[in-house]
Amino acid sequence: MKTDVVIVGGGLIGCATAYYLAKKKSNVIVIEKDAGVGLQASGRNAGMVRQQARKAALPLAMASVRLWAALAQELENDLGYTRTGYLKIALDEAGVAVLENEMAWEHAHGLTEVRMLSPDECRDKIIGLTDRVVAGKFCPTDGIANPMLVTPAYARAAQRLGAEIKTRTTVTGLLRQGSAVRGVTTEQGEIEAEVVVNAAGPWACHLNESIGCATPITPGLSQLMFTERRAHNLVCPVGVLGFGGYFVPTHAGNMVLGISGVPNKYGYSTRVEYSDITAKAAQMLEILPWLSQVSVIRTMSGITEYTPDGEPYIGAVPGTRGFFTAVGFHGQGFCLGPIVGKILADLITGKESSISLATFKPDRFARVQG
Amino acid sequence: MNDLTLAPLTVVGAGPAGIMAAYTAAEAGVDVTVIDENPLPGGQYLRQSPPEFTIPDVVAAHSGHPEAAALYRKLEHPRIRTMHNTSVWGVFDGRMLALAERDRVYLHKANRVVIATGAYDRPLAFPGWTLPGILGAGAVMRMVKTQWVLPGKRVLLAGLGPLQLPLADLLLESGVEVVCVAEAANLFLGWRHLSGFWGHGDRIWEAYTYIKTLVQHRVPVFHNHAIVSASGKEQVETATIARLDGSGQPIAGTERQFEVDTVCLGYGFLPSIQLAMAFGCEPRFDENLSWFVPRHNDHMETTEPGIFVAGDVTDFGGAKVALAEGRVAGLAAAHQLGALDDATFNRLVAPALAELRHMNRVALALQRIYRFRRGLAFLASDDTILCRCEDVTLAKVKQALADGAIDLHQVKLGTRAGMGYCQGRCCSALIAPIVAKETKQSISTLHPFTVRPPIQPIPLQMLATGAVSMAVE
Ligand SMILES: Cc1cc2nc3c(=O)[nH]c(=O)nc-3n(C[C@H](O)[C@H](O)[C@H](O)COP(=O)(O)OP(=O)(O)OC[C@H]3O[C@@H](n4cnc5c(N)ncnc54)[C@H](O)[C@@H]3O)c2cc1C
Ligand SMILES: Cc1cc2nc3c(=O)[nH]c(=O)nc-3n(C[C@H](O)[C@H](O)[C@H](O)COP(=O)(O)OP(=O)(O)OC[C@H]3O[C@@H](n4cnc5c(N)ncnc54)[C@H](O)[C@@H]3O)c2cc1C
Repeated sequence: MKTDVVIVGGGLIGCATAYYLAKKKSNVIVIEKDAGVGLQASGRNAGMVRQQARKAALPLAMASVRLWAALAQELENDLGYTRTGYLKIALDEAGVAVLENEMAWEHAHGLTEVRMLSPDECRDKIIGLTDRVVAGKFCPTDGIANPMLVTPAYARAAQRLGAEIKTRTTVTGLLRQGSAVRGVTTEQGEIEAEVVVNAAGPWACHLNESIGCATPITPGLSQLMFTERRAHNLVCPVGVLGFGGYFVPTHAGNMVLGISGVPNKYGYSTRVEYSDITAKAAQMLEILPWLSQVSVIRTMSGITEYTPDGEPYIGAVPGTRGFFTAVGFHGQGFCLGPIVGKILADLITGKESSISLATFKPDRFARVQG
Repeated sequence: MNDLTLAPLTVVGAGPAGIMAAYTAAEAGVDVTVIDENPLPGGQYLRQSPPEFTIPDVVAAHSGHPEAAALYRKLEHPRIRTMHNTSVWGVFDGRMLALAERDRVYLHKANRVVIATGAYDRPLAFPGWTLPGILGAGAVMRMVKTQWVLPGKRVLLAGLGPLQLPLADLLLESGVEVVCVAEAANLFLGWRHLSGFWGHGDRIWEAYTYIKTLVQHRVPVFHNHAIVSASGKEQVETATIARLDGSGQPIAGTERQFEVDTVCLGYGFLPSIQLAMAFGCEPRFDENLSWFVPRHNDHMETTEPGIFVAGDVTDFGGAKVALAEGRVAGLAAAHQLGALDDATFNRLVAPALAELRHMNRVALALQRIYRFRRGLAFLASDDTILCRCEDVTLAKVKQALADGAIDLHQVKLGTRAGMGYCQGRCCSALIAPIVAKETKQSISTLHPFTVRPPIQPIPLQMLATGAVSMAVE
């Protein structure tokens, strides 16, 4: 089999890249090990499309949010995207300073709509929020979308433009000719391509390493609790500084109660820990006491990726030809998916990225290690 | 009742199967913890009225379970500790059972486990099935027996299986008008299996007494008929049945309509496999049931070592099979725990297995005669709701399949079916045949929804009681 571009991994990054490439008339094949696209982190995350509190990736997040605005129309699919805003609160004075520093960074990058909220303003926004709130920071252009819809929508739109999605197929290695990558080997045979993109999420390391570019990623476990559907006061996602958890509304009326990830504690497993969910439930009741009689109907977890500096690896892999990667997105890949897919498609078709990718160079740790 | 007390044997479910498993193991010298979510033991069939109902239980007396009282007394065994009002809502770290008791949750460290969680009414989706007044037969049985509430005045019974007769009998004796009984089985196709009843005169006699009551009350019984639609404004007012063809599909032009205020649906039971699945037990597709049950060996052990199943959770066999399976499971668990040596175990298990085989002959014959007929899975029209929790219609499911979903999980992600309060307990068996048909796979190759804790919804307040440290740092 032969094609222009082979993409390893049918998560949001892989499917978005496929769509923007197909739009540029490239022949694309996405290879996904699971029975469908978006069944890993891309389909089981908290759905926050958040710019606030991003560090180096803030410009990417802002550009992505501009894409999100018209994405449902472009993909001809409801994505459940709404700009609800996002509230981040601090429970002590030290936290206020952190929020103010974040805001300075955000304003400096042009995210000028971010502003500090007084405790009363926070409690006006989220009725029943704890009295312990000392300050809040709000970004009105942050929002939510439905992760279950987004990756399949990209995949279908790509397919309409001629892209092929091969599910239940695992990529086992790269086809090489010197420093040039010529395709991939799969359990079902070889696929030749001019360009290969490694978008295999937390499973991506060995392919990059096989060509001499170590992209260290430690898997972590992020757990989610879903409440029953009911009327509630959570009008926008709420994050709590130093708390290790967050609260997200959904269109259906369920709430998502997120427990931040812990690196490497449970390897690649997607289990749910009794001690984590019970402890976090207790802590969450201190933040939103009215949750007490709301029932949890489901829990689940996904793998988050930890990189040494918390930033992803994006771009052409130095020292090779025809090989790109975009992995290691930690808790930001859902928001960033659209812009990263678009930028990769540009890079692959020979266009410069409009946003600097210097911080995200795939070989930044490979060099350190020598 | 503290966290992490290790019980050698834990039995989940205090129906006939669970009680018998617990008693048998206790007799063999094993300390047993029995856990059941109800305030009193008994399970489905031998369900007891709550203590506040002091009116003499004429219904129970009529349906005649003199054995019930004797069975409950088995739980008074000194080696058995019974935890009522306690449900198991998850399995963590392989053998930790998460329990919910009234307003708190905690962990219970299990060693060997007998899962005797029983079964629940199988839903059947047809136009109008979600109207108020349309009830599951098991739920009606429960209403009448434990709460003394009659479901309505004019009742139509539609279903598949031998339990329709005792239910009709119970309703008639309680003074309800039964307009007709629609039985979906084709007894003509089933007669080959009647040899299974050889040596079970009591069962035939029981059936005969029920039929006699129907005849006395001039209740028409339509064989090879199923309910195909129901309608009404606020609640069900009319119900339509039709004759079925060889594959169980209704034949156009054979419809009969009845004015009713209640419809009892008794299309069999689905095993409560959620806990077994949470343990990681491998499911087996049962052809007669056309659904999944936990796979087990002759000694009732599942594919997870030390985890046993007994009773209706394994497939629908009735109370006597449940007792026999409970006995085998109890012996096997006691043997594994070292309470019975090989010789004693073999001596005791042989007659128990012989008894089970004897019981299973009828059970299997009944399962074949009343096997779930394929056509019954396709009664819904496009606007019929399949997932009640999330209001997902057949049309939405078909759209998700047209959009590329190829299994139950992907249909769930695309439609939200199975994401609601019941977590797919009801809709998965309704949606799977549609998925199988549209994607041209065998339903036996589809995987039921993954089970994740909590098996039952748990308020956050309760979940929080399981926390070791309560402070926000
Ligand atoms: C619980 C949780 C909550 C989160 N919340 C948010 C949030 O609110 N906002 C946000 O922006 N981000 C969030 N994230 C992060 C976000 O979900 C991820 O960063 C993003 O989905 C990454 O997309 P991806 O395509 O790179 O990875 P993935 O979704 O992991 O996709 C990689 C795909 O590659 C496939 N694959 C791997 N190896 C192979 C192989 N050898 N052959 C073929 N296929 C292969 C995998 O099966 C997988 O489908 C959250 C993550 C989790 C786990
Ligand atoms: C309407 C009706 C009529 C019937 N008529 C007859 C008849 O005439 N003859 C006959 O032989 N049989 C009859 N049966 C069948 C009989 O009820 C069953 O075969 C028998 O009860 C099965 O016993 P069991 O122990 O397997 O399950 P059950 O009796 O169902 O007991 C299971 C118990 O487990 C509990 N449980 C389940 N999950 C959990 C959990 N996670 N945590 C805690 N507790 C849990 C349940 O609440 C229940 O108490 C009838 C059943 C019904 C519903």
